[in-house]
Amino acid sequence: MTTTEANGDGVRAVVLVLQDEPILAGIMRDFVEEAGCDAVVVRTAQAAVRTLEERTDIRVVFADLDVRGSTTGLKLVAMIRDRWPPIELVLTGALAPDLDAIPARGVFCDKPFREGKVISAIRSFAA
Amino acid sequence: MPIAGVQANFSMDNDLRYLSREELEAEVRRLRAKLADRPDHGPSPSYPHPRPASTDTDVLFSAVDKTGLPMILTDPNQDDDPIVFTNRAFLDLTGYGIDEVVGRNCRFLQGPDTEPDRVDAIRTALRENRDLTVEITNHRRDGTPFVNALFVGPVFDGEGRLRYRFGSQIDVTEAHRNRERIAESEARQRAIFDSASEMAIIVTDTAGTVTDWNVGATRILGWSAEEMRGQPIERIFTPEDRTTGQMRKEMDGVFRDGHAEDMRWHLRKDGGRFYAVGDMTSLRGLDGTHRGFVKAFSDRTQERNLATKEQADAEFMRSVLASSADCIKVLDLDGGLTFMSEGGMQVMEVSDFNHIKGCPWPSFWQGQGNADALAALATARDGGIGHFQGGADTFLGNAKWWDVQVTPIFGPDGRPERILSVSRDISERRSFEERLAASEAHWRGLFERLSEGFIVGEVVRDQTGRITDWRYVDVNSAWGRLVGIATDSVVGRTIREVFPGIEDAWVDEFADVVETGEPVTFVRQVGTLARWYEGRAFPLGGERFGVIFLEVTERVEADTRRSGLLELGERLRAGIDTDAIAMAAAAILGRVLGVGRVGYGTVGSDGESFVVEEDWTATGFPTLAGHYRMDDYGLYAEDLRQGRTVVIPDVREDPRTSASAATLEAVSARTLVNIPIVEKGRTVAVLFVNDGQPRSWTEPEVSFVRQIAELTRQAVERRRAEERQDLLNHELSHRLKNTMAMVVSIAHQTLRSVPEREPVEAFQKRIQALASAHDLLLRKDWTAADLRTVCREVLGTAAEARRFTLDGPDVALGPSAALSASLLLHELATNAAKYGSLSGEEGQVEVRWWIDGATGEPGLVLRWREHGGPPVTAPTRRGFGSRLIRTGLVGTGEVDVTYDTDGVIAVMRAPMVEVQRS
Repeated sequence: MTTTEANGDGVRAVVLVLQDEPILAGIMRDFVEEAGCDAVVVRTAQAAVRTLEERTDIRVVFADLDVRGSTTGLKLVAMIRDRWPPIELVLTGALAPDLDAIPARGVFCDKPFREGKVISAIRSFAA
Repeated sequence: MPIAGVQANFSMDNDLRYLSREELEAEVRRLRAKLADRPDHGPSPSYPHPRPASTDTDVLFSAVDKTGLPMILTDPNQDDDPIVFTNRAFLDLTGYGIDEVVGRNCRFLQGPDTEPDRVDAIRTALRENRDLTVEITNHRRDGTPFVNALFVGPVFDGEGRLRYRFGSQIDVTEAHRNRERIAESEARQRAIFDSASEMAIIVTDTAGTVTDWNVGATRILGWSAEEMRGQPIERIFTPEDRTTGQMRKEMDGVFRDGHAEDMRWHLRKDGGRFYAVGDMTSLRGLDGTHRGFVKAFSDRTQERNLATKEQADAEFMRSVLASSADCIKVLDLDGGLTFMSEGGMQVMEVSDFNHIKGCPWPSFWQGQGNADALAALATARDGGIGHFQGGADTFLGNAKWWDVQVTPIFGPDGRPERILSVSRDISERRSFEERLAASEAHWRGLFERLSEGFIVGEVVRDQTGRITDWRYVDVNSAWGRLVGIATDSVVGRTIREVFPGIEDAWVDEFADVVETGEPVTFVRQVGTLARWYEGRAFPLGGERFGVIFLEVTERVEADTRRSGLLELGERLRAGIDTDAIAMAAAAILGRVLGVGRVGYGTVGSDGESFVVEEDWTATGFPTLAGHYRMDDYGLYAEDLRQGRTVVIPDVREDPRTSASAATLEAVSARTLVNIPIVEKGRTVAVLFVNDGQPRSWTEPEVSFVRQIAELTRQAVERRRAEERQDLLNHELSHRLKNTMAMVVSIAHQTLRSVPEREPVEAFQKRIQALASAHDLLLRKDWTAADLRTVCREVLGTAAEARRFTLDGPDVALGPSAALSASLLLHELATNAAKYGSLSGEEGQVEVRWWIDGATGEPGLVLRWREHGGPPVTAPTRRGFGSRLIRTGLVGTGEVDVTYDTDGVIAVMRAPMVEVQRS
């Protein structure tokens, strides 16, 4: 976490991390910070929606499609595309979803994570 | 036409009015000869003035005048060969007055229907002075046509000079019509013969050699017409019957009684036996001569085995006996009459048996007949059979000629007790019409006994000549049974009148038969009857056609149900989700049963609420989608809760629904079948079938609904289990992947301070290779992974795809083999990238695999070959990677690694059973 890269305004971009598994959430937070961004971690899709509704500074959502709850990860992703079109998506999950179901401009990172790939995806979207 | 002074010279005492044509022609020849003898007295050629001079001519004129046969004489020596004499019969026939006839050429008889070629024939005969008999259509004075059997001939005088021409006319219009009727009758007989497949009809010559053999005979007996033509009909008799000469007996029976019953076991081609019921009759030409035999019977083996049918057969026998026209008498031993059959009283013209009761029977016979009768009586009294032919008058005095058989009736002591006399009237030479009627009756009998329906139809055309309908000309009683309409109400009406709204194909197809003359076969439904028919339509000539058919509703419906089940099976295999399964089942049920609505409703845990999400409906039929309370619709709700199937043909009639019929009819449910779906002892859903019309549900239909319900329930259950399994697999994979992600990240964090990065990365990559194998397995529910895909996934992380060549058949790896192969290939690829062919820019790796069965047990062989890289040497130290490689595809070793100068070659082998073990 040595990188302190900032965007044009000198403010670090904010990435919303959706993960209900605490250790993985920590790992994902590390990737976000490694990419030079600030991480906001939530554990459910509902919480993610609330956060998106409350905060306008979120540039990227880094979500696990397999989080438990009444709203599945894929539904959340579709909702984000619908309500907050500019937000970029970095997705992960047990299985890559159908290519058609991945929203445009989404990137899917398989588990276990290849650190370099994840960090560069976040960095390029946050820039 | 009285002619003075002729009577005395005319010597014939017969009344000419009753002369036959042959006799009349003979008479004319005689007269002509007479004329030739008296050359001096030529007849005066005009009538009525002047009178003919010659008495012989008078004789001729007189003969012509007196006969009832229409005749004319013409005089060829006058201009245009005019008629000089005619008679009353000619004037009656043609409708002309005498003044309109005499002095004219007889061509005034010609008219629009007259056949020009016949006129030419007459002209030629006249020119050549020949006799000619020809049938020609002439016209009466009022223009009506008649068919004239015309005889023309010259009359010469003694010196051979042509004096007159003679013409006689007979109206044979009726005979013509009869001939047409025969032709039509024959066409129909032929059609029955050809098409009756339920009845064998065999024609033989007088010796019993088969000359004709119909499809029914082929179907019942097995021999084809080709095989049997020319063969003795005895072949179809059982050996026992052959020994006893049964065939001969039947033939004798035909001669004796006019027909012989054939109700016995016969042989098939395959040696099997069947019970035939039918009869044999004489085949007679229209002239009445015996030409052979017609044997007609059907296979009644099944019925034979049923007591009820035996009774029917007995009844048939009785009716045959009752309809016998023979005079059957019972005599006492002295020849006194004690009984006479009803038919016998009719032929003997006896109105009351008491008039002749006790009369000595031999005294009925005259002359030689009396002696024969006494002898026959004596023979019978001695236990033998007397037979003779003789003349006897009926009670009313009409002379008849009889064929008589006299046989004893034995008493319980075995001695003749009474005498049976059967007399057959053979004196009557049947008139043409009677023979035709008898022939008709015979075929009519067959026609009526066919179990197939038979129609004779005639097409109906519109003004443009297009066939738009057809009319029933004749139907048999089977038609009525198969269609369910009284046969007497239908003849003369058209099919569109009898079945309003009938499918056009029922008209169009038979129209084609008439237009093309080609027979067709069909299997089609009459929608308004909801019945299916299979049959054959064939041309009968002209505007007519015949149809022979059977009802196949049950068979067709069973077929439809079977294909419905097959279709559902196919849809289920297609892997559709549970809602779609239910809808597919509903649609198939609705279509196969032809009902208005089919669907599923779920029953709430209270056993009362009933929810229909979606249902299948026929076009225009309302849906039932919505929420209901089961008890609102009748008492059958309780049956459903108890898990009992409910079948209600008519909701107004059933005690469970009669009170709620209006409520049910409000949702168009006049009839219903409800199948409860029970899970863990509770009815959780109901499959409902509704229609707006009452319907009597057959057992096969209800069990079809049950089958579909059961299939659907099983499919839904299986699909739910699969869905649960999918969920479980997904969850498992999710956890496994998370764990791997954590392991990798933990290692990454933990080993952050280790300066040597290589082992850390190797560790991470090995975990990645394992994870990718898991992915592949998950896609197949942890059952198998494709070897080619394993290679592509693992090697794809090591280098670009263009540097690999993958080649081999499709091989499915079991989970264990998939994991080891992934790790193994990963190690090989890692080594290649570090030291081997992938370390440079151009090197290649070729991976080939095949199934090797040479050593007995089939094995998978996989060869890894690097080329185009730097020279390699065997490593001096064996690390974890090379140990992994040496473990082999399934942990059994069998790995051979060579360090060729061109690159590494690794050949791995594993038994297929191990490779595919799950």
